[in-house]
Amino acid sequence: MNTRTKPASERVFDVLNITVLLLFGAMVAYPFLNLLALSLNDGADAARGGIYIFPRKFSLDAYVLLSQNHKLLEGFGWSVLRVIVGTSTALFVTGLLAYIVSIRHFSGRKFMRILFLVTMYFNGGLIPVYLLMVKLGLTDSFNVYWIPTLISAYFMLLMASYISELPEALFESARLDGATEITIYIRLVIPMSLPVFAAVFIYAAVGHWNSWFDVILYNSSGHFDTLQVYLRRLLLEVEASQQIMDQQLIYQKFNSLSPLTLRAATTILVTVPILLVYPFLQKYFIGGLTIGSVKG
Amino acid sequence: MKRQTATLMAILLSAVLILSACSGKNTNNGGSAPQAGEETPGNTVAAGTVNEFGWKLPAKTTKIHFYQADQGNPDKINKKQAAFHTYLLDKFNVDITRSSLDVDPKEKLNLMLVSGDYPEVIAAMDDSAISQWKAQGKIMDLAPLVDQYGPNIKKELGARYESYLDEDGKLWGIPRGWGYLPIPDFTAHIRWDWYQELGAPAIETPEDYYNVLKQMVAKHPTNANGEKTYALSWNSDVNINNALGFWGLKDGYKEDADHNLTHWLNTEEGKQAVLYYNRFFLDGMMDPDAFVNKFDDWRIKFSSERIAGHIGPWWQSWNAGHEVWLKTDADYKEDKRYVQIAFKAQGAEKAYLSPKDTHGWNYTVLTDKAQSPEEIIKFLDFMMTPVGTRLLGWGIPNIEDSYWNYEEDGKWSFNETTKQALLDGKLDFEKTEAANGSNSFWLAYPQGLLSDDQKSTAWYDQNFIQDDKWKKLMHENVGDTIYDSTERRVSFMNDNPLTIKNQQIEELIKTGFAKAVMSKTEAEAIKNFDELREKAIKIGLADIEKYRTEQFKKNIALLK
Amino acid sequence: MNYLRRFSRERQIWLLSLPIILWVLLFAYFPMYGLIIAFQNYIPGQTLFGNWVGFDNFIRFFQEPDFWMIMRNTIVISLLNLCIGFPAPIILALLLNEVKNRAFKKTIQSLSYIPYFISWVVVASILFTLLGSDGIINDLLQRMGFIQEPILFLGEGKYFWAIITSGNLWKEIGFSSIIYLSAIAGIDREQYEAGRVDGLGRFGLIWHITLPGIRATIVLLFILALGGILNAGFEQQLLLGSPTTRDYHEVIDTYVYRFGVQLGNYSYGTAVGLMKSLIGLTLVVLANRLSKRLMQTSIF
Repeated sequence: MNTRTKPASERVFDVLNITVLLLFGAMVAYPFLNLLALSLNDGADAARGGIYIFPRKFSLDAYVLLSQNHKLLEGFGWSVLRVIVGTSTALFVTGLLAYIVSIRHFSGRKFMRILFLVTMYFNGGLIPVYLLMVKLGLTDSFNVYWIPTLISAYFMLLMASYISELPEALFESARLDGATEITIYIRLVIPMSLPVFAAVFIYAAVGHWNSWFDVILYNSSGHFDTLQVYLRRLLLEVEASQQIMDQQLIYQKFNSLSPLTLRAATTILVTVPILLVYPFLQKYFIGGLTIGSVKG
Repeated sequence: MKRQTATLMAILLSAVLILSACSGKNTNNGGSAPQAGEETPGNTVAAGTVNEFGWKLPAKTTKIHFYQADQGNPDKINKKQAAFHTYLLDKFNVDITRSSLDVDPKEKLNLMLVSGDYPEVIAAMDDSAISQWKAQGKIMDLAPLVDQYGPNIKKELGARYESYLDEDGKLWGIPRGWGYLPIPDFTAHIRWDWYQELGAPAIETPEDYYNVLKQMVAKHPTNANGEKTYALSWNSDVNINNALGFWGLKDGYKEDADHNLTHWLNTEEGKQAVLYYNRFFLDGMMDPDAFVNKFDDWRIKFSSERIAGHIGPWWQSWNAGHEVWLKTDADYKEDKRYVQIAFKAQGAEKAYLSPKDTHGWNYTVLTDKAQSPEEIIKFLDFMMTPVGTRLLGWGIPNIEDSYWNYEEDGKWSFNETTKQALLDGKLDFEKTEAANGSNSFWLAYPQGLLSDDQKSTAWYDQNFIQDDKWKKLMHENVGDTIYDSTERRVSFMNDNPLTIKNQQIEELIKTGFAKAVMSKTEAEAIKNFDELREKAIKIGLADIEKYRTEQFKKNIALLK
Repeated sequence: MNYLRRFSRERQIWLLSLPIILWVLLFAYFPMYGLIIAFQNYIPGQTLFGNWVGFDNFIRFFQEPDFWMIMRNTIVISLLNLCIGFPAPIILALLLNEVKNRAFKKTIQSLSYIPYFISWVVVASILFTLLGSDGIINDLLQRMGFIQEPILFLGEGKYFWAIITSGNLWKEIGFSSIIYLSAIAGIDREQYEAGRVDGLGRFGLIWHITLPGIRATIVLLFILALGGILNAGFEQQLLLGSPTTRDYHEVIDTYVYRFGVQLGNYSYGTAVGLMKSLIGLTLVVLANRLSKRLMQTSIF
């Protein structure tokens, strides 16, 4: 755009906008930098506090320690597999459902929406769900990571609100050409809804990456421990120790507590891979995608 | 684009189908899944032989794969138990593994109970869980087994044994960590080199402590970085009952000649104590974040030399004090540390700082799934013998990282190298314990002094009080503030309506105590204290007092 | 003829729906039998059909000594989240959308969702270094001479609502803005060109094209947010709160956890949860009806 034609108010806005976003960027990046600095600091020295953005006494000990833990690599593998399998299946099935409940002439549309909406508010609680997983043979298996999370009512609503805005006439003419609903979904709906699929992809992938409670609950054997579990273990160690009454026991626990620096390094290690997902999907948010281009 | 997406989806879907087919349920041992030594080969040692610890090897390997109902880091636990597991398998023909999970143990126990997916042995069950499992008939009465196979269990527990039986004479669990160990838990602390600087004036009353701390802070108003110093700080686990012990209250209660208990909120001593701590705040000597600090925050303040005194567990000023300085100060001098001290308010009979419940922390139970309970009891019985407790408590003997050396016939000695490292504060617990596995399988044995020498305890680091200058000093200073509190034991069960009231009052006190201590004037502190008492009374403080008194009197009768 | 064709089409859709419906019945509806323990005094392990206590657990909640305090905190914190935390990601998405430099935009966008991954334990310790009695903020204020004594941001209840709202905002803003960015990306380019032809300036385009273009998403998320009005957070309260701020930080979920679940009283937790769900769903239904009438947009 030609800057000379821009009115002054818009130029002021641009400057303000950039400034605000820069400040915002600094605010959101700070904790990450802080953790990075901590993770690169000497463990005993970090215990005295006062580390902000730069390490005071540089040391790679924490990362060396992490690299010696071979289980972390295995955990990383499970995490990635979980994200790929869990997210793609959930996206495909939930997207299909979102398409179904967006078909205007479908008589079961409202019924289906309400059927799922209710599940956002009511659930049976920990014990019945656990028993169900045991009965279905899902405990101590990888399947527990994707089957129970196949459909989310929340994602359904998000995707449906996007899909509803697509031109119905397009689907109608495809139907007249003899296309089946599943073909319409795969050939038309998905390519035309890439931004919302990308957004839900991020949400679902992050959800899968971050979840740890179902891992420790259903996979007590430890065979399918994900990366996140190792982080939670370190972070929860202190809290767990505080529940003990006997002082000698607590003393022992605190003696073997993982240092602050190791906790920071693990946080970094667990966070970086998922942070890298977003940039890859950003192209779907930049626009440039017009419905007209898909039509052709 | 369209075709690509479709193909991608097809590939992904088929990948998923294959995956789900492959990764079916491959084990069904649920919570008890052992990590160390999953498949155990039979032992080659001839059955029936008696080993150097006096243990008769069973013909068939005894399997004890137990779940311990406390929250632990499974990775650390597995690392620590691996070597010891192998040792016990080789020498004892006992295949013992422990699993702890990072799930809330209460929750895990409930899920085990409702799903029926639990191991043969469960350790660390509390009274309330025991009553739940007993009601469902899922755990065994151990009394007949102990009668037959557990002579040492009975012998070591002695008269105490009866107190673990229920009304019908049944024994539902074997206690863990029982016995009287006269080491302090809670004390007052003082920064030793600063105290010496003042000429070490005598500290006999809370007043003296206050004055000494005041002088110390006046002398060291800031640390090396110019940050303000305080006389006292706390972290989120401040133990109020302990902080009241200097006024002669036991566990927050005052006892009269007839064993009637009065809650501290209803006593003059309680009020005195609150006003005392408030004075620190009024004079700017209390860290304003005293009730906000988490342990890590507090530890940072402490280790950066900003706190002159402390009232709390003995080890806190070690962990956050000289144990940090040892590693970070190039020219560390041993006087730079905290020393544990005690004092008592005027008029108080004694300071009661460390209550000792000799009943034990909780119990080990055998579930209805136990295949050969008698074999398990036999091993628990061995654990109870002094030599068994030593072995399980101190781990593998006669190796480089051993805590102890063992010859035959019960002759033993401490490993001088590790002992010296411990006394020098240079022992790397993580390394030695991964090698010797000390206290990995604490199923039954006591933490109290062992019956044969009345000196050693399963806690390795508590064996050398006389050899360690600072521990010795601590014992001299606070030894007489330790008291047996077994009779005051009270468990609030799920179905007891007072449980909720008790919890509500405890929450209320946490908030109210903090508010009163942080009051801006003395008058306000008194007002806040009175308000707290009013509120507690409204919820039902009297009921709690009554219940506690009843239980107390009942226990006194029982334990006599 | 028309009906027949419609039926044949619908049959296809129903066929696709069938496995989905079976899934939801199995994984979501079947376990709901667990809700009946709200009307019992349930101890895990015992039968699910005994020990009925009717509405006792619900009544207990209303008679809690701290009932009003908890309700006030829950609703105030929720409303603050709704008034500040809800529009903020929309504004962020709009601002990002106005940035012309792609690299800058991408960088800020990627940074913006970092806080979502930092667990509350870590956030709490960072906040402590900022807001503690000798934290950075107090230090600055003291150096500039605004205050003599440090302000106890974390120790005094009156600051708690502001802190927790900012904390939530900071953590969620970037992550929540993703969906709005995707909605903006879905707006037809031709509309913007048409708008420019009609002489709309930059703000005009935002107001007349971008905002209406993402209206459906905004309305949907707002209605859902209303349904969550009784969920005011849990972990952040436990980690940022301290004994001295309890009068301001205790909310329904933390209270029920402490006095229900932790004491082994699952029935109580379930009863309060059930009540929250009913209220949430009712609010959603009402809001949906209102939105249908006023804005011709509805979520079901």
